[in-house]
Amino acid sequence: MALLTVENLTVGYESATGMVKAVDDVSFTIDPGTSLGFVGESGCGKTTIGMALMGLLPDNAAVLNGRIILGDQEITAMSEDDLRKIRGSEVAMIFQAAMNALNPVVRVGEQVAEMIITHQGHLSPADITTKIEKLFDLVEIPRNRMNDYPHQYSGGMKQRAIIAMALACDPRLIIADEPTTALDVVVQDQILKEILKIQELLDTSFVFISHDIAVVARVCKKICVMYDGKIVEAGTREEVFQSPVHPYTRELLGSYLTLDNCRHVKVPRINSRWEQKGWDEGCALARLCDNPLDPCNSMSPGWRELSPTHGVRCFREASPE
Amino acid sequence: MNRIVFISKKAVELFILFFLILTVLFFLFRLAPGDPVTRMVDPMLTPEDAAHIIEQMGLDKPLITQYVIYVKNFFTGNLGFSFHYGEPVVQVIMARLPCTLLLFTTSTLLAALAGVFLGKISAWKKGSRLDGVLSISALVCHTLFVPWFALMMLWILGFKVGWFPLGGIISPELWIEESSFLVKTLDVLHHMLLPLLTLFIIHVGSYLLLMRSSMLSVLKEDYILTARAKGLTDRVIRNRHAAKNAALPVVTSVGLSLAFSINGGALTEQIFTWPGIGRELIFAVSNNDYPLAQGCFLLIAAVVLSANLIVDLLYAWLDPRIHY
Amino acid sequence: MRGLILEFIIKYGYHVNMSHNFGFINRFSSSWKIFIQNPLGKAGLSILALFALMAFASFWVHLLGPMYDPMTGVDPAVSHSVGPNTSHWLGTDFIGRDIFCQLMEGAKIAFIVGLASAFISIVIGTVVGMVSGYAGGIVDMLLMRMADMVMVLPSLVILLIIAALFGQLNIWMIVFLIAILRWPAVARVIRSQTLSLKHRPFIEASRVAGASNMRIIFKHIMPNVLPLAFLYMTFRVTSAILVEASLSFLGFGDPGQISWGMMLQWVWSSGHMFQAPYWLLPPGICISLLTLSFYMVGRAMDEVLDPRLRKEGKE
Repeated sequence: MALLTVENLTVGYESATGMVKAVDDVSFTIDPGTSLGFVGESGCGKTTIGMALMGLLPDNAAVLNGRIILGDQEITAMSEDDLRKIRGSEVAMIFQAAMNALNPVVRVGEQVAEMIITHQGHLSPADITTKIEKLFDLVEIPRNRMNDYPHQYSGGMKQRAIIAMALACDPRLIIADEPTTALDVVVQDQILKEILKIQELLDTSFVFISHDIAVVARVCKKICVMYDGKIVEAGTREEVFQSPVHPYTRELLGSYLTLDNCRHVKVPRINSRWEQKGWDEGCALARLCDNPLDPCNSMSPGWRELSPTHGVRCFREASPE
Repeated sequence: MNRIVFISKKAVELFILFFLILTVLFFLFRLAPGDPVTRMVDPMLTPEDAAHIIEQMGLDKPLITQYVIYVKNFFTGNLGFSFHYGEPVVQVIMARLPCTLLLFTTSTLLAALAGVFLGKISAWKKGSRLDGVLSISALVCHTLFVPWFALMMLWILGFKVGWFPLGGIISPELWIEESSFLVKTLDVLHHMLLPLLTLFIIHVGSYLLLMRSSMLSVLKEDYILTARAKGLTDRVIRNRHAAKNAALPVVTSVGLSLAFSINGGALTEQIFTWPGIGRELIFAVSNNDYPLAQGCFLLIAAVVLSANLIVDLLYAWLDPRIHY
Repeated sequence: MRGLILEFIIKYGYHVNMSHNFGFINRFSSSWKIFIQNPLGKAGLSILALFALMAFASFWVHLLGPMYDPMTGVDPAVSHSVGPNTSHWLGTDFIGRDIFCQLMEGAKIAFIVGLASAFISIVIGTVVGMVSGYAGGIVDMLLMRMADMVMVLPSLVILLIIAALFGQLNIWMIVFLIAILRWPAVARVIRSQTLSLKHRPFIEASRVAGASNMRIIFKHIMPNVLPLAFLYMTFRVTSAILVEASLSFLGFGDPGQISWGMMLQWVWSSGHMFQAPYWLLPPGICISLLTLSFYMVGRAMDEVLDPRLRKEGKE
């Protein structure tokens, strides 16, 4: 049975110009112990999906359609009280390290303890301390730093503390929203290794959100590429990397500099928000396409399954050579 | 360790400031129009007594020597003799100090605590009717004119309704005869309630508004989102995460507004004839009792500066980020 | 080659500066729209307008006749304090002077004291803040220490002591003294604004083009900090009005001017405070309302200057 099932999720934000759809008819499933990555440029809706999975959408956002089912509970139908019970214990979130994600006036150890006390309050203080110590060992933060304040931690340490906090109650699913974006590459590497280690040791599933497809590919076996609220291509990382079908995916991959291709790199053209026309009048990416087909400008492409694991939203039959 | 350094630096700064005030006052007294001697020596004294004081304060000596004597006198507790009371100034002001401190600290503490509490709620329920009512009331309180409001309180609650005495700190009848300690304490409290309420209402508004805006900016911070993601209850998020951070700027502003509160305190003391230093200063100035005025002023300055230091201490204790 | 670069930079710097000046006018009209939509701004401005009207009216009150002069006008028919009636809308004070006229005169005094004192405060504070922020180093440290020290001092108490030593204070002396005690708050804000502007490209461009420090401060930094300075002016006005009123209330104000504080002094010292609500209430309400309206205007301006405070859309 799938751990997480998302069916036709549509999330909109109220803005000065009306309801804007940030997530448009998105469906996917995650099995226990696997990881799914979401890649896309800013504003494609990936962070909104992460927030929606925890029921943490801001006040001006609403789930317009669809369902989110975690195990046997429907998140989209739960009350705030029930959601609070599962936040942290069943599904936890890891934020960007650059964010001020830790309370500056409370010691780090206490903040992790707070997570445990809220959901596993029956544990004795001694047990809680042991648990925190084990968590810190797991994420490789020295035990003697437990009682420090967040400003005394480096960026990488803060991120590891946030990871420890997310793991505290053994959640079944962890949503990681750009966890390495603000870190330098060395620390980024450490954190990714950390996450891989956790994936091996524990049975936690990950939803990994990033704009960096290389980072996502390291950690996730399955990848979804998003654009303007819809998934344009989804598949295993081998399928997406070795045989991408959607032109957008190909451009994302092709924009990576390596020693071999650095002279021929083509960066995907960035459409400003004003030029984006959405999916209502055809493919939202039609403008970026080199040679769009006829239906691309008038009809919205549907989802096509190329294999049980690989799907794409495009009118093209096969990847042009 | 670093906090101690921080506080010591602040203490030294304030001490230097006090010294500067002392010095400026010295020069003001001697540079103001008129004969400085008449300001130090009671014109009612006999020539022998006058000569004695002149000698004691070195008024016939050069300015520098006078200054040294002045400073020395201050630190040995000799602030001259009050013209009006005929007593050493030190005695007069020290008798008044406890009354002012009692009123001032109680009202500031209560107003700060209430303001923080109400501001927290107001911010949490932003946009609701409660928030609207609290904000508008706070705004009105913040802009009330102190002596006028004190007069209004006195008039309505003291005169018209008669619940409270019209001034003073005690009812002498109760104190002359043998009354228990409890009765005496209650008597003082009964007299204190009206000025306390006045000062409370005047100050609570600004603390509320400050806490409210501080809270509103804290609520936008990322660690509040983290707290929600941890599944914490609203109450815990509001108190442990938001309010704790939001209260810090309020503490700093208590320090900044101390100067303002002393003004209001002096005016309130005047209206309610509360025997404190503020009222004594106004009395001294009205009656040309220069030594007393000088003494009151210096004591008020000392109180304000010490209060500032205490507030800084409090802030250093509360904010773990202080490390310079 | 260097000459060309220099020429380009001068042109660039000048161009940016010019657009700053033109942009200011456009910004003003769009700021006005935001300001007027804010309920606080609307209410505050209306009340202010009302008081301004009162203040202007006070210039013409002598047209009503010598009886209505706020200082000397004694109604021969009345020689003590009476309540509101047809010839005296708010009644008379204890020697028969019309209270409403006194109130209007007080409005004029309040505006003069408030605006003058605030203006001087702003001038001192802005200059100190800009110099401190731009110069940095020891100058900055010294100026800010001085600001800290002045900020701690309670203004009323100091004015009292000065009144004791120098006798009855003239109104302009009061204005000036209040101003020099209240500039530090402005200076701090201007200083931090200057610090953030210091490293902007157009400043760097001017520096490279050889503009003197004075020129940079006054021609380039000042236009950008002035809106903030004017915002803080509203708070200085309220503070000045309150201090002057308190001083007058205690009897140390300028005896030649009738301010609202002075009116309260008379109510209190003549023992009428419990018997004459028509005399006690108006001055106090006026002081509070005027302070309130300036404060509201200040808060609305705050919203104009800080886009994050605006309540637009739902984003």
